[in-house]
Amino acid sequence: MGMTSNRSVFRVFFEHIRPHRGMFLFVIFLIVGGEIVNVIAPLYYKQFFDVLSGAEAPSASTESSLREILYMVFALHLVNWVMNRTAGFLSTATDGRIMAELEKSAFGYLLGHSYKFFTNSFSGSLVRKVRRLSQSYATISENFKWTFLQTATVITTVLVILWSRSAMLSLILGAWVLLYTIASYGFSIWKLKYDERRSKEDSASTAVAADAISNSVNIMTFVGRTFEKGLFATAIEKWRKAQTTAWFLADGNEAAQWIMMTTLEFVSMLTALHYWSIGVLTIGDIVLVQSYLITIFIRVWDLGRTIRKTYEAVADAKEMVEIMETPHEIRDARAAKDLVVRQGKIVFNKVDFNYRKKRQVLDRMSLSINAREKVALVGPSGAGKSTVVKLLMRFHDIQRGAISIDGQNIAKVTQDSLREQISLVPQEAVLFHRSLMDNIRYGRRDATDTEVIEAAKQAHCHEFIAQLPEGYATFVGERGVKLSGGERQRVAIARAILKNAPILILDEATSSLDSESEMLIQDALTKLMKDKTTIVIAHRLSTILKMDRIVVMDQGKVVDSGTHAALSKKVGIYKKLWEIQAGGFIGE
Amino acid sequence: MAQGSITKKITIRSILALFWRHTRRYKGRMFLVLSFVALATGAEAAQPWLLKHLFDLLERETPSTANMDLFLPTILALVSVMIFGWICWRFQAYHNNRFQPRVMADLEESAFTYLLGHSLGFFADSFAGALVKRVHRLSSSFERLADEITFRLVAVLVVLIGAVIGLSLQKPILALGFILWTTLFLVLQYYATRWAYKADIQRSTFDSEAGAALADAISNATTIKLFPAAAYETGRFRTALDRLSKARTRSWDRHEAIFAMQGTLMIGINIAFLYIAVKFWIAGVFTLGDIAFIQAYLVVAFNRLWEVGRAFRHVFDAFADAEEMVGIMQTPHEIRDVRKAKELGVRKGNLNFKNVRFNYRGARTVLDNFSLSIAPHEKVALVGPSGAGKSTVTKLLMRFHNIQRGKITIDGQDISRVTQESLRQNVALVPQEPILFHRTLMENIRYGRRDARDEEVIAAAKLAHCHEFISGLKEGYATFVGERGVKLSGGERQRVAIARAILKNAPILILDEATSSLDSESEALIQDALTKLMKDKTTIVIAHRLSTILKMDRIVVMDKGKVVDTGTHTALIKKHGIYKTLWEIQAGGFIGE
Repeated sequence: MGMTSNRSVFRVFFEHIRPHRGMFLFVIFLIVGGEIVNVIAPLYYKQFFDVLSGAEAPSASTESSLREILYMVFALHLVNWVMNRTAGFLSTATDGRIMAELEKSAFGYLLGHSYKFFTNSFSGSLVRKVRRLSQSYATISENFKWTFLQTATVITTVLVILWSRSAMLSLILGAWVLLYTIASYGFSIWKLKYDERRSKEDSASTAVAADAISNSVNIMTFVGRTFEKGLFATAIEKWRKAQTTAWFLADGNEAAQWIMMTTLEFVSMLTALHYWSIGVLTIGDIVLVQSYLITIFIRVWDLGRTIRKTYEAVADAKEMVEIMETPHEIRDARAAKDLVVRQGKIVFNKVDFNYRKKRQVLDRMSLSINAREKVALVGPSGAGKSTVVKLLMRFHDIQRGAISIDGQNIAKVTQDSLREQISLVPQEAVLFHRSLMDNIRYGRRDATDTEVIEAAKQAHCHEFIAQLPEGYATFVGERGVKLSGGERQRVAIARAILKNAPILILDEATSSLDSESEMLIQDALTKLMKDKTTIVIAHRLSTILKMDRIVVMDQGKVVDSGTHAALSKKVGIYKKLWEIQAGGFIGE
Repeated sequence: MAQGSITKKITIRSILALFWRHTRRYKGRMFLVLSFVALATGAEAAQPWLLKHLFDLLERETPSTANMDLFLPTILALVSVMIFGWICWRFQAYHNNRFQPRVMADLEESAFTYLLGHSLGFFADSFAGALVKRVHRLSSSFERLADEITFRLVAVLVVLIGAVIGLSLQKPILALGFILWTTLFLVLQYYATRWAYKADIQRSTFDSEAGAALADAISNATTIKLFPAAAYETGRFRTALDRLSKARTRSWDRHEAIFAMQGTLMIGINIAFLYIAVKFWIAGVFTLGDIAFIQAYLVVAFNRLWEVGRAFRHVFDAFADAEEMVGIMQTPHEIRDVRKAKELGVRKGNLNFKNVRFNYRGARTVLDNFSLSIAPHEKVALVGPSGAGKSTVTKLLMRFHNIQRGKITIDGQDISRVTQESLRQNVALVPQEPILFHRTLMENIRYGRRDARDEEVIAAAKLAHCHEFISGLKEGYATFVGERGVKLSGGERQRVAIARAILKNAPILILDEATSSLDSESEALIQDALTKLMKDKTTIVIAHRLSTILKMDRIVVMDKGKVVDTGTHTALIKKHGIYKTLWEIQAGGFIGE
């Protein structure tokens, strides 16, 4: 992609700085002021040495003027100290807040993206992008304030002060700083690609390790430990080479910096001595030059690295800013109303739909479901059954046709109100790493504990929850991994019971349950379906037998519809599916 | 979690011992690195002597161009010392670049290898992501520690010793003052860093909390849409962020306070020394050069000391990071080969479970006095309600766990007495939820027998009906399947797992719900392949679909960790037992209507 420019990154940052701009500017003022004071202090060191070298013999008057100079140095250091520390404390408070606000707005915007967006991205990488945005801000803010701003102030002030003592020295120093900055900048940009290679190898070796660890069962089953060790050793060796190269370059950079600094030291000391010998500069001036050189050396030593880090930070931030600039794919229409469901009649009218212009998934599909009717969708995999469900939830927008509930086009009502009116029990239920109580309560977040437990009992969750040492307070692990597939499905069913929406969708809702658990839960589902418009998708045809009507789908269309008795008499897809299900091993 | 299994306390000594075991191989290099750092910083500490000389000359001579020659040797000496330092640093870098990355790579490799030797129970209890991070942190922790020792510790020591020697040659009282001040500085710094470190730890705890909250919400993005809850989730995240933001400010504030303390101490000693120096100068004891000399030493020492706080922090961090992985490396592998374990030789494939008792870590007993004998080439179906222990039986046969009592034998050989590798070579397992490597399909299938040729792999893929969907892919067998195989559907992953088993062609075969994710049509396709595969092999099948089971030689009914019945379908269905109940549920539709 790479459409996002550096400017948009900074725009996002500035939007978040704006509420704190007064404080931000004050911090800048303190930093600049502090550094100017810092550079003025050596002027008094100069005076100090001038007095020392000017005095024929130490006397009481020289001592008192020396003491005054020392007091002045002390005072200047103190002022610098106060300004710097104040700036430090103020900026920790502001930056902490700005980082939190950045993450919050990134997260808020992210959640508005479409279902497709989330299925197409790794959740781990989305998390990383949100976190990196705020970390990038912290890096950039720190580098700007404590490196770029300070260094610029110091160098400008030094050049001005030196100019008043010797224009020649000021010119030499100015030219050197210019050359040094250009060299550092050029080098760090050039080195970027080697650093990238190193981090690429780093991620590659991490990926090998992660892959192996998540496949630990396979490695045991197929006795692959030695083989995996070899793969990892190769990856690590590549990383090591890239790492060594990157370090070598960094070291070459240091070597060059050192040479430049030594040259400057040598040239400026010779020049200063020369001016001293013709009586233009005093001993104090030599001290002044020397201490300015040290100050500048310390400041610019890490300049290249700071430039590089800043670049990386901007690049990191870009990934998230790009997501923040991508418009949400599914948006509420202007002045969208809330959906009102009185009866629950669902109509698909000549709906065309495809994912990314590939194969047509739904092809002029029409289907009308009466209020409180219970419909089973059957058909071979790829027929478009799950897609029908997703479109009804408006997880995707359709290309042509209309979907309406009680006569209201679902594209014209708010997404929230639409989804409030539908309960969906998905095939693979994912849970929050929160307590079971919180997870079930997600169905209706204002439900009391008693209501939650009631729903859990109906969905037969209560049995396994009651056996856990921490009961309803048990945390279920990332995505719910600590529960079995069947347990997760029962939690999802409990949620749907609690939500109690007028339209109910069961997408293979009992596929992970074994026959016994399924039997237990069927009565709960039967109760739940009562007085609701229901769509059921299932492979087990036995589950489907008790629905009002069976709708057979194939290749994105409704090909047949009727009761089991009627359909199994015809020679069609339904009959074929039924025969496979009822038979045992085929081909024996 | 994994921490629970690490009972041993990890000491700093054990971390250092581990690092030493890995650095020992390169100790020549390490010695060179340290020596060059000492020489380079030594050169830095020598510079003030030359400055002193320069200023003494300046004071003595009157300004005139004729005197320039007098200064040249001193300036040249100064430059030579700097260049000497420069050369030492370069040598140091040359050796260090060959030292640290090697040790880091070795460390990661041995951590990784040891990790893979842990048992299935260990992996089930840990997050894969967390384990990866720990392997990585071990080496980065070494890097940081090595950096601190070479660049900070050695440098600080050399500079401080240089300053003390220099000052005591001038005025012992100044050296004494400097020693006292440095001690005070270091002690204060140590405690201040520890104080700030506590806040740092809290900050990173809240930081991971915020990260976890974020990850949780994002992996549940669909649920959030289903139960419109974006505002609610933003609120929750905001709470986590507020805590983080406060913790951040607190920890940064402490570091600011440390800077403030360092600044105060440095300004203090600087002014005090200048004041004393002036006194001595007035008394005629000090020359101008002496004052410049003292000042120069202070600047050099300050430069180094300023960084000491960070060094302490990095060392704390490094130990904390290393601790987790060292803990794992000190935890003995749960399942080990016995001393002088022999290779398992399977001639016929007779399986025997004798009075086996097993539970997971002292929890509820899963298998209780379980006995089962399977004849060579017999095909057995294990059925029973969930929780009966069916999958456990297969895991124990693979020796993924050790049993508490009883014995499991294959052709009379106790599986706990043979090598794990030979045992697992002889058993092919198709699991319920197969996981794939993020590698090509070719490599994934070839995992069944890693020396198989491409044609053999493709033949197996054809038998398992993988070939159909693979040839539909743009890159065919070269397609990468995504982390854990996410880019394939559950049914496709199962077919890959079956292809692997076909390729492995081991004398014992276990199918644990091997076709549960296939739709009826795909299952029908694959049954003939499975039938062929089972031929002449001892086979254990676990399945929910009873129709799949009907064609086995014998059905073993399990309940609550025991075999409760066994026989053919026709025999079992006549009895009023669990099997009959299970069969009726499967055959019927909605019950209770």
